[in-house]
Amino acid sequence: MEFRRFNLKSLAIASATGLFLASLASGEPANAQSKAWPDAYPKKGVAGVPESVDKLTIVVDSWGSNDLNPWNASQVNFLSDYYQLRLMMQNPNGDLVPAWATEVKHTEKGLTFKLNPKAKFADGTPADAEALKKNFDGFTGKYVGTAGYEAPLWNGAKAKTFIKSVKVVSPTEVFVETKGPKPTFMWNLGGNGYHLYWYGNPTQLLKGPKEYLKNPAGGGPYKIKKWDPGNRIVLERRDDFWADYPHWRKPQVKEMEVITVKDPAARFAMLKSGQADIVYNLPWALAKTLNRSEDGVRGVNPGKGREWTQTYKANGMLTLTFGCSIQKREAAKPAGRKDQAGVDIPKWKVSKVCEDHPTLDRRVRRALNMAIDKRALSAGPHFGLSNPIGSIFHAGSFGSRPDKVKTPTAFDLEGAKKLLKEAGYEKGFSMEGHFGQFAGRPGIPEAADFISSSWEKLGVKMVWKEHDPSDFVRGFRAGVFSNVPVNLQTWGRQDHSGVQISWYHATSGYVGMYNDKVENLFFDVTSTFDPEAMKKKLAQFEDEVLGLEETFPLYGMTLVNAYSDRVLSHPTVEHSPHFKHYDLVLMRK
Amino acid sequence: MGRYILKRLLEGIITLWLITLAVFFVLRLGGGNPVEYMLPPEATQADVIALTKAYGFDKPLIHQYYVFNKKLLQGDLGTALAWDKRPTLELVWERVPATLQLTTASMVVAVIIGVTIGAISASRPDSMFDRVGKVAAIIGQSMPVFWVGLLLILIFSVYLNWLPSAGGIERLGWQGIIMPAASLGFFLIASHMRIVRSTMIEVLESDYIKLVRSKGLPSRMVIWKHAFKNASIPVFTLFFVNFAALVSGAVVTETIFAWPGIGRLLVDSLILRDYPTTQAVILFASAFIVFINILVDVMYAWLDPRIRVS
Amino acid sequence: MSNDAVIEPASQEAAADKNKILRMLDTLRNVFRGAPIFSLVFLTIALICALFAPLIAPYSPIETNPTNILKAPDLTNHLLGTDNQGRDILSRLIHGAQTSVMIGVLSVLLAATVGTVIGLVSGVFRGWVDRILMRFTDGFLALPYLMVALTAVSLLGSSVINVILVIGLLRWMGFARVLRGEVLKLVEMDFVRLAMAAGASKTRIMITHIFPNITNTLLVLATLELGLAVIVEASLSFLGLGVPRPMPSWGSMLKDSQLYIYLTWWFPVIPGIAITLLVMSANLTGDWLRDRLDPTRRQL
Repeated sequence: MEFRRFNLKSLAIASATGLFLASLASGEPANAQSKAWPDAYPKKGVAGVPESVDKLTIVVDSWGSNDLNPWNASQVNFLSDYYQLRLMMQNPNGDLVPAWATEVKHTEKGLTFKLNPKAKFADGTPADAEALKKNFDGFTGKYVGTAGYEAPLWNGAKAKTFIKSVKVVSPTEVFVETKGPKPTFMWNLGGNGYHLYWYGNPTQLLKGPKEYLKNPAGGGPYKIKKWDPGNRIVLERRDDFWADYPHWRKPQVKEMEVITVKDPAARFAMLKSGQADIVYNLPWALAKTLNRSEDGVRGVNPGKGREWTQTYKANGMLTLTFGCSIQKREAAKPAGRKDQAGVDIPKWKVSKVCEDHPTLDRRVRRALNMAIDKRALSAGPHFGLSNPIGSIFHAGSFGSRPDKVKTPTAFDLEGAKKLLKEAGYEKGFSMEGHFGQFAGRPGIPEAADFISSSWEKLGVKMVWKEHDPSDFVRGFRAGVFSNVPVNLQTWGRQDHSGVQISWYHATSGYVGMYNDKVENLFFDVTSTFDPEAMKKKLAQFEDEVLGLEETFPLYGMTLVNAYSDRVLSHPTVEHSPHFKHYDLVLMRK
Repeated sequence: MGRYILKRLLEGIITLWLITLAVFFVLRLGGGNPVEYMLPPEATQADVIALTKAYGFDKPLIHQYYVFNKKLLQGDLGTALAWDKRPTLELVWERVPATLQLTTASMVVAVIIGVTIGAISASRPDSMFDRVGKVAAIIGQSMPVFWVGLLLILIFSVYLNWLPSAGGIERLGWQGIIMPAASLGFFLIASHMRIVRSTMIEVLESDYIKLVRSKGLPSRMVIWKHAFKNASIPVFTLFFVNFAALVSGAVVTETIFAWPGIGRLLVDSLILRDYPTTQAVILFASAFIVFINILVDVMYAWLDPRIRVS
Repeated sequence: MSNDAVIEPASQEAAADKNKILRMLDTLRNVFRGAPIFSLVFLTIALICALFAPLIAPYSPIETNPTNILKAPDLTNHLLGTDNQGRDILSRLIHGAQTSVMIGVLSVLLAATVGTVIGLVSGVFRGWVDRILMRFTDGFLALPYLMVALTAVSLLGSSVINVILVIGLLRWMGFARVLRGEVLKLVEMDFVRLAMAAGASKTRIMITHIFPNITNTLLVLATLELGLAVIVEASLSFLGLGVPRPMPSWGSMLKDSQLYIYLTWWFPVIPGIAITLLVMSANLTGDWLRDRLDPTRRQL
């Protein structure tokens, strides 16, 4: 007995060391289980797992927008993963793997995509290089004013900043010339991580927005059987689906139905009553009552009860941001400026409340942050399912430093009181703050209440105004910037911190804290091609931002998926800002 | 009679047009450029600028209102900013059947139960039944609709596993309407019960009924035949008025039960700040209310000629 | 001893005092004839909580206690248990009464004021003033109430003031219409005609002659509207547009608590019961007032 234990212990030490070394190399906290797919997972048609299953019902709180058209959509729509194409994708281990493109060669000049020659849209037309070029044209707005397109794609301007030209080299090869080095191309347009662009069927798209809706005929594993925008979608498996990768192939589920139910209690009822097999975004308090698959193989039904869960880690984060300083800083600058990319910078003005506010004093901001016990917040009101963080980058993302992520700023109530006294606010003061709730970002209202309670001990009376998501986002737009003096800024996960920093500069649409140095760093980082150099610069960027002491990371969120016993496995990445890989779900029957 | 109907219709149209004016300006003045609200955080400043121009939101408000009116005359209620840029009229029209089904079913529940309790209470005023019935009905009027809905889901979906809770009739069949109709209808039972009870008591104690009773007709026949018929005018008026109000109240029920109606469309379009769609829903619901009111007035005028003249 | 027995008074003064008390009790009994006792008591308690919340509540309503989450009701410590952040539910309920009652009362006050003014002006001035005001009223009546309230709060932002404004400015029509009807009847009465003939201005008539005679109806309407205002506040909270955190309101407490129904019973149920009782009490009181103040009216 003892002998065995000794062996296990040394084995454990050896593997831990190995993992640690591996994590130093990749900058990401390695997890032995994150490479468990496909071996540790059940397989279709093996050991009693049926080759095909009729129906799967999934309930989500939101899937993004209600647009099917990838050329004039108003926002992202994550259902597109199932009926449209992406250039490449993430497999359940998080590796970048083929989708429409089998390989990509990425240099400072641009990207060469080799497309899968078998790729076909649901109406039989080939998904070839021409189709890809037409899609890029669609994104960048070339068809606006023709074929019935009156409005451009919501992020068409963003696509234009990346793409200089698109050349069809052969029916299966495309060269995309970029406007200078664009190291984050694959994370922005390619389909990796949090993706923003989906590629549709140009033959159908060019018939015009109205006709397109009648038959989108996308290139993905499902086609749309029934679309009830805002409520439900019924997807039907394409038996002629062209792809046959281990991570992307004909799904087991014939008919996949996704419904939106915003209320969490009603959503859970769907699972408990057997009306749904998968529930996305189960509140943390309820998740604790179910069996975690992470205790065994993550994403595999532990077989211990009627329901089980799997959690997306670090799917987003919440930071405490004080906006008066940046307002004063930027408002002092003249109008009519342009940034390094030539985009107009709007004129800032100073809100009345910020003209002479306590939070203009760095000591006050530091004190307010010190008074928040982030560990207690995560352990208590968040039921242990959030992680206190000290980084503006998400855990496990490229460019994040694990120790920085894992270490929140220290909690020191007495120190906070001293600092406030030193700054002249011993008696405290009153403030009104701003926050918004977003689908897929749990824990925010509890954080707001917790902060109010924490600051009351300093004599600071804090009241939070809740905004609906659009209003809250607008309050961060440069020149508008109305979420002052303090707000709970929230970020969705980015796998690549080079994308995360795209909010920390003057012409971002949703402004994080920056100053001139940070702004310049942004352009420097985003054109640095070498990964190691980029990592160093990202670290420098983060230090600079945190050094402003205007934004303080609070906690990283996790998002819980709950499954009925009918679901055998759902192989999916460990980290994601939204639901993924539903086409890989395997059911019992 | 015909002239009266025409007059009311004209008034209704003017009212509706004034509502479009108010809604349009309130929505636009509410906060400035809709594009700034519409776009998600991932959009850049360049995207904001491009889309503002594309939608014409950089033009002066008066010009935008003029364009809106021009389109209105052509039967075009505007194009949605989200929802695949479809015409808002089409979007609303698609959802109307679901809301009508829900409100009708709720009315059926509220009418049947309300009338039954009211009638029985009227025939036995101040009895135990009367008092308990009144309290039970008032409890229904005092519970927030979403709470009733959630409790019903808990009992009938989760614990008893009898009824499904999300999706609407198309998805679930007619059993899907039971809980939503019950939770929305519960609210109105009290109001129906009261009016039936009060008007029936008034009629039962009227001289006409006393005369009929003195002729020796059996009690039950008296109640149901004569009293009911004469109590119906104020009662039916209330039914119609409540029905119209239900369209608005359905917002909460549709949200809980994932019901694909116009209430949910409103909530979703507000979150997306899709002003044209929000406008279209409010307009449509107002038109419905105006129509019902005209119907009631016409009914009244038909029954009582004096009203037509005034 | 029968009920009619009379106890011999010890002296004349004692007899006089006793009679006075008996007469007072008699008057009280008369005034409160048929009153819904429970409702009145509950409303009084809610009002006391609303006015003196910080003095009554045993704990702070906003102080979170991460180690004390979702504890069951316990007679020695937290009478009604703790919520999902460890806060005392009873204290939050008491402070929440302040918010909910305040919103209810102020919005009804706003609606009543606007409605009364319009009803009075319409009924007294008549003619084209009346026609325009009634057209205006009809326009507002055509609006789908909850939809417009939701839209307005969504645009204006959720704050106590905005909720009061939105609820108040969308409910005045009922007051206006009913009161106008009353005013029209009163205007025909002799004492008003005499005043007009004596040369009193219409405004003066409105204030001194008409208004005092519509206060009964006004009170009944206001009480009945109070219930609806509380329900609307709860619905707005449910749809995400409630009062600013961390202020408790019964509506936002109910909304926040719903998902915990799978874990506990007290947190999701107690705020709901509080709302139901408040609205019920307001409605029953309104009903009683209507019967009490207008003896010609049928019992409803």
